[in-house]
Amino acid sequence: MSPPSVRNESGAPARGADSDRQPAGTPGPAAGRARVACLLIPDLPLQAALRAEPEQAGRPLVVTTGPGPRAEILSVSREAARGGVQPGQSLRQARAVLPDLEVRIASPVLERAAGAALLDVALSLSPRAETAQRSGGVFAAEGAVLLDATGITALHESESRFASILHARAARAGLHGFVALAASRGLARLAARQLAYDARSGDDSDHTARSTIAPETTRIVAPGRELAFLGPLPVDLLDPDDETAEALTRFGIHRIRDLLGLPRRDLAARVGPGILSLIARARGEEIEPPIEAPRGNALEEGIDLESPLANLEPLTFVLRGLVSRMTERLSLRALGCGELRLSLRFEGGGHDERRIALASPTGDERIVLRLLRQALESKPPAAAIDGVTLVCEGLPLRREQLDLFRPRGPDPNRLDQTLAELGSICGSERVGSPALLDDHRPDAFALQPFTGRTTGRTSPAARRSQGNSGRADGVSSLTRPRHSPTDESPSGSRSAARLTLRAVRPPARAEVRIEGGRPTFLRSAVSRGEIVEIAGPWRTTGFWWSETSHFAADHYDAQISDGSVVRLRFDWRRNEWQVDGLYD
Amino acid sequence: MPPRPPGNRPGAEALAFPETDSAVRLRAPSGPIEARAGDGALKSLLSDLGAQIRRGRGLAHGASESPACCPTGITSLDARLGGGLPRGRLSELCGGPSSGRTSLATTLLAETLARGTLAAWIDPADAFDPASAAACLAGRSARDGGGEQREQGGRPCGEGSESGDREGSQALRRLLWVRARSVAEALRSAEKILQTEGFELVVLDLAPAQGQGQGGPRASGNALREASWLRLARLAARGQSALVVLSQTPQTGSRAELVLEMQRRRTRFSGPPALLDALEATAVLRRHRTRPVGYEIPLSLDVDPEAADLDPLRSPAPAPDVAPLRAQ
Repeated sequence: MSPPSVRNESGAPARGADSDRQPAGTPGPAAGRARVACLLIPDLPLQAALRAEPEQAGRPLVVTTGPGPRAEILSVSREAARGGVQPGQSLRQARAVLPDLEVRIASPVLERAAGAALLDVALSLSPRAETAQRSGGVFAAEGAVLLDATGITALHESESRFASILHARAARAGLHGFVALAASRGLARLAARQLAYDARSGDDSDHTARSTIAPETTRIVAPGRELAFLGPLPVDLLDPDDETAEALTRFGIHRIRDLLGLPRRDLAARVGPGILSLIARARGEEIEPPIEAPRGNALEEGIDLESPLANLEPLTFVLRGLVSRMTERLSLRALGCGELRLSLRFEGGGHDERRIALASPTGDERIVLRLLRQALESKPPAAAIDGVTLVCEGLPLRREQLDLFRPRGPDPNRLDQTLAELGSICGSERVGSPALLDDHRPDAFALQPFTGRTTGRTSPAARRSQGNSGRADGVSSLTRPRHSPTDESPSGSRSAARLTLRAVRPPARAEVRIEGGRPTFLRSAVSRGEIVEIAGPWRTTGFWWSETSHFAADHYDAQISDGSVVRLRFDWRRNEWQVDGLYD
Repeated sequence: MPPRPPGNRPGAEALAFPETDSAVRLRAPSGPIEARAGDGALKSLLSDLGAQIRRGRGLAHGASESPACCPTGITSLDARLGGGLPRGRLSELCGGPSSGRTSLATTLLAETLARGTLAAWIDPADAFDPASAAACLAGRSARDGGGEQREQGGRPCGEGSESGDREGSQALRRLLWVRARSVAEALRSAEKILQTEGFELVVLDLAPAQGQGQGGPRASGNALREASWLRLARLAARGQSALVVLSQTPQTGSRAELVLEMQRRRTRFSGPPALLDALEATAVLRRHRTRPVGYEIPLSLDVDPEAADLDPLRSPAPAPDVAPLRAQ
């Protein structure tokens, strides 16, 4: 694509520095005055379709309202327009003119995502931006965002430079549009709309004259020159309603200059009061609230599939496109992908919602795609899919801060990926950190999500010992346990090592012989033999009010003649002996 | 020809210049040396020097790459093992039921978590007991806290235990517990965790679950192959993680840097009333790549009375009105 050319309102080439470039440190021409930039996409349905299918660029493509031959064409590509196809035609008419026409049905999901991407582009350059209200009539396919560009010359070389950057970023995001800067929202949009109008007219003339001049893509309306700029523009750019437009045509008012030259009161008396708002728009006198910073950082990408997908492989291909566009939008706003919400719409109705939590925000497309794939592999969709929506919470990227006293943990992004893979291998409910419950039930624990955070408080002695754990001899005076002498002497005093239980889940059923009120023989899958020594019982009971959770058992520690030391219990509810652990 | 210095080999006599040192000799113009000594002598000399240089480089290389260790916290064992279980290597703890292998692994785990690092426990037998690990951590923290307080002038006894419990619960959050459903899943999980490169300790518990018999996981399938151990050992070396395999009989063969066999000696009960007091075991060093083997280290695995408060089965006193037991 040829580089965008910049012109000022008088039509002369602006060339940045010549027109409005200011010496460093001095305020620009718009210093102290409100300036608004408008990024306008004249054919949003087409651009949204091309954004999802970039391989269709350069081909005759139209976007229609529906699938049938009578469907109205909403938007046409430049190649299709050169072939004679125009918006407003029916698909049958268009095919008669251009048989090898590519047709896409307008997708609200894609248009919404493209509009949001447009806003992301704007937010990458200004903290205050908003999506402009959609127009009707001939401008119904238009999508636009408005940015607060007040004082922008303090950051950028000039306003025209800023406009060029904005245009280039939008083009990188797959949205080719026009940028204009002016003193108000309406004026900026009008200027951008006029650029689009000129480009379309240029295309039409190109079709006959084969001109090689690149169309203008940016325009700066300098402060105080608004009326000079607006005067020669066609009055239709003000987007009058049908009745007003007809009246203006009847009176021979074709240019904004003609409109502004007439007395307002008389005009309102003849055309109607609606003309006053049109005049105010033309003069830039509309009352506009300031542009505010948008709230929330939820990013949405989606696609409506023309044919349902039943396999994971093609679905992964679709997800790759969504994730790629999403990470590109995230990078524009210097954000990372937080929690993901994947919504799959099934062919016969119904949908599947999944939440995929990430331990830390990431901007890596491969990681996000891999997590999605893992989630789908661990639980494949129940039916064929004909629509996918992906929503992510944009979060500031976490910069890893190393700690002097703690060892470096794993890379958070890599850890997320590993946890997702482990969940896929073993089941997500079987991977996590153990947590003890405030509960007297035997073997009561919970598995909580593993975050890998190493922010837990460590004891001063532990902190001191970290630097010594890697010594070649390994025996540090700082790590030496206080009761070390007892390690080697089994004299009954305290040791550094603690006796640990190996749980038997579920408890193994056992047969026990009782003699004199005491268990004397055990037979189970864990151990078998005479009970040499036994301690207990300890009775635990609880949840007596619940039929399902009630527990009552007597526990014993028993040494068996085969050498094992087991934890034995008699379950009063089941009326059976069980081995629920092995001391090891 | 100058007299030949004593000790010089005949093949190198042409290179001998008594009035100069060896460095000068090596820098001498090559022409005359070659002319007098010939190819054989020079090659012999160079091969000697080359061997020495290689040996020196090897020694230097070995010294710089002596592995860092994960201390077990048991001084006598750490001293014998050269600091603990080596990081970046595969170690194996094996032994029969009630031999103390799990207790030793849990002690190692507690030491690792208490340092603020991450650890993983891969558990195809589903035998890991969080209460035991928490008790071990609490006991370890209380021991450290008590020591700290004694150094600072002392404090009431109860406070150390509470802070130990808190730290123990916090430390468990740094443990990744993978309850794999089979040995194959456990091996794949171990690979993934080691690839992450950030876990200081990875325990792979392959000791058989109840009912699996003496053969353990090896008997349950051919999942454990030599290639798996090779791959896991390489991944452990790359990520500098200590990979510890817990088993009944040695599984890893020559891939293990260290094999420690646990043997049960006796169980101590105290009372009356009778209470399980400790398990006395012996750790036998069966294999070590750099240290002498065959040493036996006696260990006493105690039931910690302070940390036992976390175990609900031990906290209440014996019920006074225990109903008579029924015979099966």
